[in-house]
Amino acid sequence: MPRSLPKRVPKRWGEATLTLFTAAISWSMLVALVGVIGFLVYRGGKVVSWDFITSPMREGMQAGGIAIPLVGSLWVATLALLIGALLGTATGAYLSEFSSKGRLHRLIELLVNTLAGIPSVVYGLFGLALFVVAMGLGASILAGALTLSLLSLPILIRNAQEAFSGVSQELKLASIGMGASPAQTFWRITFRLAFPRLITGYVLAMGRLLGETAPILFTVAAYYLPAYPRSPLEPTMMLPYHLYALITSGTNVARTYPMAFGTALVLVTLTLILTIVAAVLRFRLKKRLHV
Amino acid sequence: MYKLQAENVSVWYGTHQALYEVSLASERNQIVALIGPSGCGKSTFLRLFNRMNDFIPGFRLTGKVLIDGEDIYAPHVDPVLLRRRVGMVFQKPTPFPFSIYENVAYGLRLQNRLSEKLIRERVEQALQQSALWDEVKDKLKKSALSLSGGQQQRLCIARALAVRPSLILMDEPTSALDPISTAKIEELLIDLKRSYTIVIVTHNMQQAARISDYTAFFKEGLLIEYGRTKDFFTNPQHPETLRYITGRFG
Amino acid sequence: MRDKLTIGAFQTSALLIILTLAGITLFLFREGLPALTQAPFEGLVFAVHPENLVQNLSADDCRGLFQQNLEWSVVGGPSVPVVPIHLYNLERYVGNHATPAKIKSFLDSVARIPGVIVALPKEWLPASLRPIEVKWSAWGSLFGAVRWSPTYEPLPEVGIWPLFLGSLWVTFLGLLITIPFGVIMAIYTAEFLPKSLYYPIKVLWEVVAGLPSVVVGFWGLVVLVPWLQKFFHLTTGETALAAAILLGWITIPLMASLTEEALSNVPRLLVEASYGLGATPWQTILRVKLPAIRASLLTASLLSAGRILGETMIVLIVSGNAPVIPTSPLSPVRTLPATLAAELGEAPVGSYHYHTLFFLGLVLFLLTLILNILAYATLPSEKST
Repeated sequence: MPRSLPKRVPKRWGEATLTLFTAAISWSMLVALVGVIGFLVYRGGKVVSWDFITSPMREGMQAGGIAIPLVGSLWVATLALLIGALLGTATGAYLSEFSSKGRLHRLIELLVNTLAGIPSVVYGLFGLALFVVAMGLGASILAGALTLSLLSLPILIRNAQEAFSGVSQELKLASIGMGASPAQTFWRITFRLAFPRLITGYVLAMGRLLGETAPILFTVAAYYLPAYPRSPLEPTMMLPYHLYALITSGTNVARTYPMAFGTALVLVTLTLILTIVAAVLRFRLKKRLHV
Repeated sequence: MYKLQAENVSVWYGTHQALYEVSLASERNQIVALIGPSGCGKSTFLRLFNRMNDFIPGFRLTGKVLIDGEDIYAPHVDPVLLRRRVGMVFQKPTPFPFSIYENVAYGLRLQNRLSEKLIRERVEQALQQSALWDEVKDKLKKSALSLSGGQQQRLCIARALAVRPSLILMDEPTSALDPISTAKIEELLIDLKRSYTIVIVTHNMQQAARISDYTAFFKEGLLIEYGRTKDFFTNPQHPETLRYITGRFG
Repeated sequence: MRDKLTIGAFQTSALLIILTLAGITLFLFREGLPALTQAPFEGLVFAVHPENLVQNLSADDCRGLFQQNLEWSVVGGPSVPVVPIHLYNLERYVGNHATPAKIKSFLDSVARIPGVIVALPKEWLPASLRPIEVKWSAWGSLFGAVRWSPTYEPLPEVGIWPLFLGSLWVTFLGLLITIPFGVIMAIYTAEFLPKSLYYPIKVLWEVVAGLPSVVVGFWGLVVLVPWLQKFFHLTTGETALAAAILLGWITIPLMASLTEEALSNVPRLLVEASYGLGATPWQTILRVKLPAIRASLLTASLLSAGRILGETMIVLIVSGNAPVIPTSPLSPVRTLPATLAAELGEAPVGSYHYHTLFFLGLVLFLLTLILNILAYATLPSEKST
């Protein structure tokens, strides 16, 4: 596709204007992002400090830090990621390497796409009905982690599928040709070579999980629990819900709002770092393969 | 007893028939060349012997395929074990993105039964047999991808040799290489004939004439002619063979 | 062999996907359908003065009486003032320590008020009061009503139309932002963006799409909402528009990346044919490429709609949370997901409110399911990966 156009000036200024217009619109996205993040940095930066991150709340939620919600979030998200990564990678391996690509395969892919489109709040409902009530786990880290892991399954399955399919078919055949069983080929070649790509998927999923609010509302998040969680069967505070609580508490806006800004900044920074790292890694890997 | 034998073998992929009643046999320590135009079924025939066609959907076979007198398509035969006895080298060199050493050791590690010392010995033997040892003995830990195309292919051959297969299958092993690497590998194959039986698919008739003991000419799924290479090229029996040979020479 | 174990494990895990979707569907139906069959006042009975001739009431009329905006005469009762008593505020009438004896005497005294209507548990119905039948139409209350007030006792109003229309309204407004911006950005990225900036811009999109919605909602509350208030001279900036702007913004990356992918996959032959005829880049885009990806645009729009529809926190924070049927972009609004998030924590498990919320969840689930099915149905013929 020609990138440098012959310059016939008068008739083409319409083109140039259109191009400029779309460029402006496209870059406005960056401006908007900077505006949002910048504002949060500006207002939240005053509040965030090492102390803020590592100390628990005081005076209800009007002072102190966010250590407890932070720890709670990390607990739930990590557990959710572990469960989701295990199941998602296994399912991705099945779809990519071990299925006979027949009707069952198509059915499962259809279901994965369906699950991907279900709103997170519906996952929350399901988690409530199944894990919290029917299985009797109560509002707990375990219930929340299980709910979140289901939420992350579609992303992780697709990620694993792409990662495994991306390993060159020739290498897999070479391994088979040497008498490696399908499982041996999978572990020694496919999985080993797909590992970096898998990791980027996990990082991305972690970023998304940390920011989810709806599914944790009814399955794990506590409004105010000034103690670190001691067992997976307990509820815990979590960053996104803590932020929401601060926003809507209304009792002493002058004091809760700065806390809210600090919380928002910490949360968005975590998510940002994970998302950017995952995206950069993924695009770097793509480039390497296309050389 | 023949080393390898096909008896009235017909192959289908779904409704499409790829081979029609092919019968062919060879004793051990021979090089058998399979030639013919594209799509004639020579690759399909080659892959019968390590059951790589099993992966193609709709694959069906009638007739018998025997190695050392054993029917390799019998229900009790484990294709995985079969492939450890039959080595394969592909058209495009496919080294794993590991070190040179690990590439050759790959097949040896599959069984988990050899000591590291033994593995090292076998790796060296295999690299020597494939005339690569002198070139890589000082950089065994380096990535296999740092080798040239010809070296990579010899590495793939070493990799196949390391597990001491009794039969080696090669699918156009030199068509992706330059003439010098090709010559080196042809020398290698003639040398390997002393210990191995080799079946090689080639689109290069001069290559077949140079290195093989027997040649088989396939066309549209049929085995047109099969005979000692010397006679095959100087006095082909079948008019089709003559037409093919003279069409390509000159 | 270990082989079988590995493959078996992978297959089992794949089957879990089926279980999950089946489970979600099952539970939503199991917990949501009772809203269609139960009445909110199970276990309660309504009773009136023995001389009151009214035999039965519709739920709406009964509620009207309790809210004291309906007269007895309208429903065929005597012309006396309405005196509603719901047992939950018994303490108000009896005092804080209600013993059975006290309640009984209270009820007996109440039974003497001509215009009284009492809602009380069946077991406590005294002989002095005459029970009446109150007809609860589940279908009518859910789909025939336009007010959502699920915690009003004893006859909650559970009309889902305000929520449903609220969702549709916000989604529609949001798409007005998402689709144009998304398509324009896709065109720019696919056609005019310098190659070196391709990956950076995709990273940008991923970042925006990955922003926690509660944070975006918070920003909206602090920046966008006051600004809207000033700009449009409103009493509050918490409106459907605020939610739509934010939702539209974070969904743009989805629309843009799907469209961009489609644009890049337009067959080269078409593009070259166009240039060969002397068309300019923009002419090619507008006359050849965009029409060629019509189906993908539809798919992308449907998926974006589904995404906006399902979003919870942004709406919860900035849209004003007024469960009324929206009349303009500047009215406050309440959507289905926001309702679930806001109210589920307060509804006791197994209560009527609980089941109604699950019913809402079921409606939401089916809506997004339909959107997704439509989206994949309009996907152009299978592209090989």
